Amino acid sequence: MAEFTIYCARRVITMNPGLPFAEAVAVKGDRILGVGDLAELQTWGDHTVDESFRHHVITPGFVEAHSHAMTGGMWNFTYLGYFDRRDPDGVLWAGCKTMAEVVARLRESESAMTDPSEPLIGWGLDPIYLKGERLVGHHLDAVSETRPIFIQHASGHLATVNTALLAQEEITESNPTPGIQLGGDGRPNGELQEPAAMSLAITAQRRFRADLSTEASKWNFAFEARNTGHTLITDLGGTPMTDSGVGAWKSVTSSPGFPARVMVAGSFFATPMDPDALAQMVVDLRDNPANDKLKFGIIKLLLDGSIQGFTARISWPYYHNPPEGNAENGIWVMPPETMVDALEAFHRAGLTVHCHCNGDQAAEVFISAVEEVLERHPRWDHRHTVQHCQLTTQSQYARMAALGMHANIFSNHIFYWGDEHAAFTVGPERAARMDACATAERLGVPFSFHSDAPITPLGHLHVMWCAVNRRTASDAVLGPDECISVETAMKAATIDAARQLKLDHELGSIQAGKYADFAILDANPLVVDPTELKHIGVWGTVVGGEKFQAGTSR
Amino acid sequence: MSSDRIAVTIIGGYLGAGKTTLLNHLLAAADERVAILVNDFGELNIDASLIDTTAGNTIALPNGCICCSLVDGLGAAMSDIDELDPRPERLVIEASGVADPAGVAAFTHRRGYRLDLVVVMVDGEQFAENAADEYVGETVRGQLAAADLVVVNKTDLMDDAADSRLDELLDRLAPAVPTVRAVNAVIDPAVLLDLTTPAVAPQADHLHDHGVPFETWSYEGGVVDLSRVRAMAEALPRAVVRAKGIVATPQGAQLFQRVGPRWSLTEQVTLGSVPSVTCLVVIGLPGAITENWLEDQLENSH
Ligand SMILES: [Zn+2]
Repeated sequence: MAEFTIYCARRVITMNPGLPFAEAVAVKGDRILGVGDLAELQTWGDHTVDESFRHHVITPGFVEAHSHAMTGGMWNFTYLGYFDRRDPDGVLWAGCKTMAEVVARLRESESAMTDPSEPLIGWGLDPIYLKGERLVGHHLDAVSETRPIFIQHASGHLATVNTALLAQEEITESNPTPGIQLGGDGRPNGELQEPAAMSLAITAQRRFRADLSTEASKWNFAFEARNTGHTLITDLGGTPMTDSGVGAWKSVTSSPGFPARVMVAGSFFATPMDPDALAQMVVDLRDNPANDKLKFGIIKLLLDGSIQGFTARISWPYYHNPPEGNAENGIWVMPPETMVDALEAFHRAGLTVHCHCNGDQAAEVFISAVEEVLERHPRWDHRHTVQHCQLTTQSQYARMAALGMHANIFSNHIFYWGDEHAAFTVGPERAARMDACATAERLGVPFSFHSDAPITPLGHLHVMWCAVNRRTASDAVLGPDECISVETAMKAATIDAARQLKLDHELGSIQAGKYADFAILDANPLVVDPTELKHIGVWGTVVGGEKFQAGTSR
Repeated sequence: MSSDRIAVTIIGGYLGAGKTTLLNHLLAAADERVAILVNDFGELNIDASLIDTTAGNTIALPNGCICCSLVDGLGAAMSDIDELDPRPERLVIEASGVADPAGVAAFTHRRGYRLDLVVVMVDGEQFAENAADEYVGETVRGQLAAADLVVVNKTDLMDDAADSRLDELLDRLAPAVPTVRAVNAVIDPAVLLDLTTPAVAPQADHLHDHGVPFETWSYEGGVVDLSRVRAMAEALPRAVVRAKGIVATPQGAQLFQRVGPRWSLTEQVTLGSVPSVTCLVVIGLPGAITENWLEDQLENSH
């Protein structure tokens, strides 16, 4: 019986600078035995040669260091987005380009439902792309006049509901909740703006929440990872640090055939608890792994809101062209003066802290806290990371480099909201230096980039395309001087993301001793036209030596 | 059924203003079933013995922007509380030190709930400095916007100059909101809980235990013109914290309620005879209104 397998490929891109390219990789069990040409690898002994990737390019499996497991749960509901999107089973859902297509897809879902009281839930609707009349409640009444219908928009900040839902939840024009939009007749038209108004849809919201945290949604999250070439994904802060929250992850990752590794962040906001107790819990989980697919060791903190929601904390001159009545600046999710104490507990426990800082003022608070905590408790190689890091300035990157910090940059924003950032949120100059991968590289801050799925779709080829080309949805180039090379983008998507998560000793590049975790691509990202990066096909992945083909069911 | 709705009290204010201390006072005074939501990080500092005696429930509230959590934490917690058995009569939400109480209050107009009181704690010693801070100033100032009652705490640590500076600041930021002063967050709990009719007049023997004494006024009369009631509601001075009662009008009975600067009139369904008795009770700072003020407003021609 063969002791190991040699995979031959059109090209193996190792991301190991000592041996960047090869033609084959040998895998024994779940580990890489060696990289090289076929003759070299055959010297290890009894083997089989696997030719199935002969026409593919093998790269290290992509590492997504900022995503959320609820990504997988969204597919329990009807997809209504404008862009084509592939579900975890690999089915391509064509984008809904017109209101008629939205209604038709909902009708189809409705007709498949048996319990008449169950709410019909849709997601991903983006009305700015739909031409003509704005979709409101009475359009949804054409789908059903009796079943409550709840449609969450792509932004996450709006919902449209039908008349049956308004009646069920007693949402009337006399309800003072801000955000209940009224129609020409003075009655609620079905559009609910912002979380307070959206939460009036009590039954639908409850159903939505429940389905986002099931084990099935975790499997779907991993299937999406497989479909997009990721072998390590992160659940950055959605999991409550409770026995059942952690237990669900242990259960799915221990099941045979789970197609991804998962780094679960200890969440300081999903479960309020004493920082020292949380730190100890995460240290124990890190040091006593349930299996090789489940990783711990990082803490997620949240400081501010989002730029497109005008809730990120940014420096003067603040927002460029905010909606009328908007506050001057954004919100704090954590009191800035509590940052040092919180950070100190996790820092002293030897954990890496990943702090959500969209705005530069939030980044300033976090960087200053790292500086203060390092003065009190010097510690090498902490890798504390500014997450999102969207408006971080040159001087802040220089301080981050000096302090040993990492950046995880939200490059997908350039495509999805870049036009809005230039026109409304921060104005053209600051928009041009947003998500400044080139500045991070120039100033020596190790960085990765991310999708923040489900905020934008999981997929490092798309994120790479954004960081390399910086093209917005309207095809404008936003800040060409912040474009990075494809080589740098490949590092950010693999080895540098692994390093940020302190997993680079076991994954992130293809070299002997590491997990046999690969992305199997149809084309070589280093060779294709860089504007085509996002169109590279993905055969699937190999995780721990096991093949997982994209678009197949469990 | 408005009487079946869970009354919501929101305690807001920046870090260190005394929110948890006030919460504990409120729990000690409440004879209702109280559920508690704490929207803050780190330890819960609630006195556990109080929670037992009120048969209440403490739920720590997950925090986070919907952009990152997509999950409606406050709404979810309120849904869970609504299904508790026995169902609480009151929900007290201690907002995080950086939360906007208006944003929290926005969640309370849902099935099963009604907003009762938004009390915002102000750290008498720190407020002026915090309100001018580049990082948290807008947050701290904004917290006052939704207040029905401002409690200036730690007044023992303020000198007269600081006191009058703070007064100016509060006059500017919360011009219509009743403001009381406190040490150790001690205020008479009568204003934190609903008024019932007839009045729950603060008992003489507990007045001295509870910091600033409040005064209550009541009115009993006959049928009153609706426009008179509206004019009275608008004219109630800032120092009035709460007012409540049934007003008999030619159009039928109306429930009148005022909490801080907010007031409402709600039509009451009455069976049988046309209502003929008006009955009001008002609680506020001493001398907020004169003894005959209600009578003047509702009966005498101007
Ligand atoms: Zn996120």
